[in-house]
Amino acid sequence: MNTKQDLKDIILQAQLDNQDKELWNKFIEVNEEENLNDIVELLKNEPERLEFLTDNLREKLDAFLNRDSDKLNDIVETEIETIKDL
Amino acid sequence: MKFEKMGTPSVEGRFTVEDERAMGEFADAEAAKLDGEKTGEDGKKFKRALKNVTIGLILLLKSISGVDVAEARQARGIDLNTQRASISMAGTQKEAIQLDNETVAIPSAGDKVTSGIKLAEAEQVRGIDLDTGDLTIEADLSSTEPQHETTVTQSNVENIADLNSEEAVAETSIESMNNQEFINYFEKVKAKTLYEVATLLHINAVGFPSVDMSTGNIEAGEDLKEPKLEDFIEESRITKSADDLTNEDRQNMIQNLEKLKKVANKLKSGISEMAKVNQSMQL
Repeated sequence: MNTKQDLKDIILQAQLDNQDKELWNKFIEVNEEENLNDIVELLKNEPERLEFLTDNLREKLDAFLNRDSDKLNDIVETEIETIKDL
Repeated sequence: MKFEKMGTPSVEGRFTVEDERAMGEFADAEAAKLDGEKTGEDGKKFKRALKNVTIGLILLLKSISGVDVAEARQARGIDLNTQRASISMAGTQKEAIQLDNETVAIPSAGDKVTSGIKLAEAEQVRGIDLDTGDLTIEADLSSTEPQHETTVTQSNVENIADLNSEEAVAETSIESMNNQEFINYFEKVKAKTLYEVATLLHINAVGFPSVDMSTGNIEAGEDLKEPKLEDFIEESRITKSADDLTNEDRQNMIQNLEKLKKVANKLKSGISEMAKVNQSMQL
């Protein structure tokens, strides 16, 4: 199984803008396969989650770059709300 | 959950070591909060993916900000003559503690590191082999001479960085590990944490806030004696084989790891506070 390539394929075929695709591409490049397994598994079974994961990735990136503690707290709260009933 | 420890971007826009640590703390806090929510199988998968987004993003940021551990240089020096602490980054990884004219440099492969210098009642800890997890503690309080010498192996240097990310990844799949995998994970994290504690204790001995800043005299204080490292080591010794390990044993082992991490975090906080005091004195 080539997890990196699998995730790249998912991203390439997804309805994402180029900026988001580029961000995912960099993310995939620096990460080891084992870091990506759970993400690939989720997206293969529930492709509709990609939009949420992409927003999550971009928002965390912005919050880290801006040292925005409030934003990071909001992101986690959103995560909790989303997984609550799953 | 509070996340307020990151500083302002440096001139180059790079993340500092403190930023890196803060991002790691965020990842831990996020994981704890997610794990605290009871969910079904779908929720568990989602949680793991979200945690890996954070872990992967931190790796990405470190790689693009130039703070990649493989290339990073972390020099920490506390000069007791000037009472100045300095933390800088660039080049290769190195930590240095200057005691008057003596400099202890850590850790290049093959280097001999000497420790065990008596500083009031401070315990000196040095010598963890990450391959075996063995820890050596030397604490002869009657001598002011260096007592213990050990060789820093290349694995000590490299494995810390590897184990940090490996540990973060492994934490997301503890439940699915069989007993042998769990024991391997436990031993690795324990060894890594002990190594960090040992390094920190060494710095701690000269850098804890119990140094009298007006005279430079060192007061060991309760904080230095507080972490009962030997107790944690004893508690975290594995006495059963993989075949005999129960779920309760695994829970206890995880709790012992958490205790060890708390000791490490406590020392990190102390060192961070010391650096702040020294920096404020320089202004």
